[in-house]
Amino acid sequence: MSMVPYHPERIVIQEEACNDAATQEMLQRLPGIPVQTVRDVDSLLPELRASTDYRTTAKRTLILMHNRGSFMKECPGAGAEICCGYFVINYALNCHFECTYCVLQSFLNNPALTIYTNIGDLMGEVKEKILGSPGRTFRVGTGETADSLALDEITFYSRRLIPLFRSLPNAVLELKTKSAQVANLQALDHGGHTIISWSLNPRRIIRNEELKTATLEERLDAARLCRQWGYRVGFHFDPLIYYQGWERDYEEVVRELFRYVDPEGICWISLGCLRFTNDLKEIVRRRFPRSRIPYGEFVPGNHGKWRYFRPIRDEMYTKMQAMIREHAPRVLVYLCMENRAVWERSFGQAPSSTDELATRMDALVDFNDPP
Amino acid sequence: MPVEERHSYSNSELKCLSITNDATPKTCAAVAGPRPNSLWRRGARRFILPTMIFEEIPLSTIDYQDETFRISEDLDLARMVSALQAVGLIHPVVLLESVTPSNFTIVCGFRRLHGLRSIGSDMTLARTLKSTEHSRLELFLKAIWDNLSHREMAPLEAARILYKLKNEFGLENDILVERFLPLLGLSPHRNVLQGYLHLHRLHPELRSQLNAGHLTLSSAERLAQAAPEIQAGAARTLGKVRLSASLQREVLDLAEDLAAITDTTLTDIFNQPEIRAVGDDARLSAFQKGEKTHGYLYSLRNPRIARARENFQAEKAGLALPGTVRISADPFFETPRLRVEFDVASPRAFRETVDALATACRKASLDRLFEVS
Repeated sequence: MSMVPYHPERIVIQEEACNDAATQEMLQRLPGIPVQTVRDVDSLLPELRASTDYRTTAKRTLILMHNRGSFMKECPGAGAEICCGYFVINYALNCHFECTYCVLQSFLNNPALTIYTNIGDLMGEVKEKILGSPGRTFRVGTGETADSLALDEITFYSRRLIPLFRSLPNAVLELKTKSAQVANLQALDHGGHTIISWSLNPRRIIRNEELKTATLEERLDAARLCRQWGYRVGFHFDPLIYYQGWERDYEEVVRELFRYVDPEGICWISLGCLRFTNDLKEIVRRRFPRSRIPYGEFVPGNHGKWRYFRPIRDEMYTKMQAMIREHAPRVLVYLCMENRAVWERSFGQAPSSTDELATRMDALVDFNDPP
Repeated sequence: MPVEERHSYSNSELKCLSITNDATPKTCAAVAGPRPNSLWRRGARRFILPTMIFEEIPLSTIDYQDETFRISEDLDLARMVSALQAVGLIHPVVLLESVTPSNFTIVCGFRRLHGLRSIGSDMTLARTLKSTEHSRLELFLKAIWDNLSHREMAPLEAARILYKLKNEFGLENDILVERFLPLLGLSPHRNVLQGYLHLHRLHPELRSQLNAGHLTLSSAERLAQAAPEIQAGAARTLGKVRLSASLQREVLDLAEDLAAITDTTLTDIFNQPEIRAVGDDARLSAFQKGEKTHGYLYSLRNPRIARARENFQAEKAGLALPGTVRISADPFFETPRLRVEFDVASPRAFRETVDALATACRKASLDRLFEVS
């Protein structure tokens, strides 16, 4: 099934967000949907949580509001033993794609889909933080609390962020997605400062566990288009999901990937095995009883998260790297949120530190047209 | 028992549900108001009281099958029988005179009446009420207050009360949450109500295990959501083993996971020959059976982890080290790191231990110990 676009059933606007240009633009792109204005978005919480299946129903409400906190933060993975030193920008909260394993299900206080409309504040903060550390390269993503492009036909934020990063000499933006919504990216002057990345999984996983996302073909087609538009691309096999026959299925995905995209255009490929929390396991069982996700061999890991028993992770990483190397011997393959022992067992070596991995990744950022 | 139509109760009836935080009942004129015939004399003063008719009622005229107002879980209390034999009935029971004359429904006193029957009594002293003067909800509330006035409700009794209020007397969930959960000493949350409503459907064997303290309330609530035949299967297995609260939760987690993985039911999981064999092994205590059952389910659910642990133990044994040397791996073998500890009480013991370790260094088991997983 192709990607299901987001169509809210109602729009709730926080009073202070009413006059934002972004709000008005989004309302124009969503005609005919009932609009309600509220002073305090939190007052909606009891109503949004009233349904027994509120994690599904609440997403039909789109909230447009201001973020009064910080937009740009260090990636939470920064606590891992070896981390890539990434930053995240939270422009929205929640996602309509209904991936069964999605951590947002247990993470978000407000179950509606929220978009921040004070995009000017966001851009100002990003600019200030990045220009404030001119000696450092920032790799920044928008895919932590929302898919980077799933809502782009509503927000058009890519058209603001890509030019912004084009103007920042020491930063690269990575838009991570499971969508195929790339129309807004065409003809933008990105100057090599934006990388478009896709999370990939076998068709079987996409069909059964990533319910409203784009198909594998749609994602890879979109990647091919982006390459044609001059973007470098990235791929994230994250979460890698273990099941009987996983090798055959993932090998097929890797083969497909390199049929669509030339290795030279790939900036990096990450590998990360499925992780989830206790809460999430219960939520998945309730919301998606047919999901096989909770039934792997998991052990408790860092940050209260469960992950596959280490030999399973070793096996998956070792084999995935070999599959990728067969097609792209020079592309950087790295592990997300893993410890040194796993790096060493899977890849035969580990970066000496987070700094080393970050430096290697920074070096891959190819600003082909300095501002 | 017919279910009364929802919203069929007047405001005055529901007002009598008003409950203070300390669960003290408030007088409700609409229910217990003065009646014309309720004039009693005591000396020079007159008291106006609700009508109270006390009668000696033959036990044979009571309909024991009608449990509309029953709250008590256990009707065969040895302690009640002993008390009745020792001092007789102290508090009269409350009976409802049915439309059919000389036929009574029990409102309060199920355990007392069962006790009286079991000791061979023919008659009971009872306060009798007329069905034309009291709604069924009002009578059930009397039964609730009668019980609450002198004891705590057991979880299954609270479940019975809530189930009846909802399903037989048609009260809304909101009223149950706001008024009755605090009355029963429970937190006023919807999921608490749902848990107790499920609990009422608990299989009889599991009810006994819960009452006996062998089954935790959370396990009972969880099992109560399953179909009766699945509950029966679980009851057979759990009846033979003893598990701590945490192990009980783990056993249910493992069994549920395995049922989902193999697309079977809890009954199928608990019916496996290996589990049955553990339950029937007379050499094992109930606690040992519990641990073995857990171990078996864990190894089925997590075969690679279980295999790694077995291999680790085997390779460790292969080193033939004295018992004073302890070797432990990282939890779940996340890193290859091992911890080696030993205790010695003399230079000689120290030398012997070091010699044993030196010997172990030359064994292939030592290398395999780092690679077991």
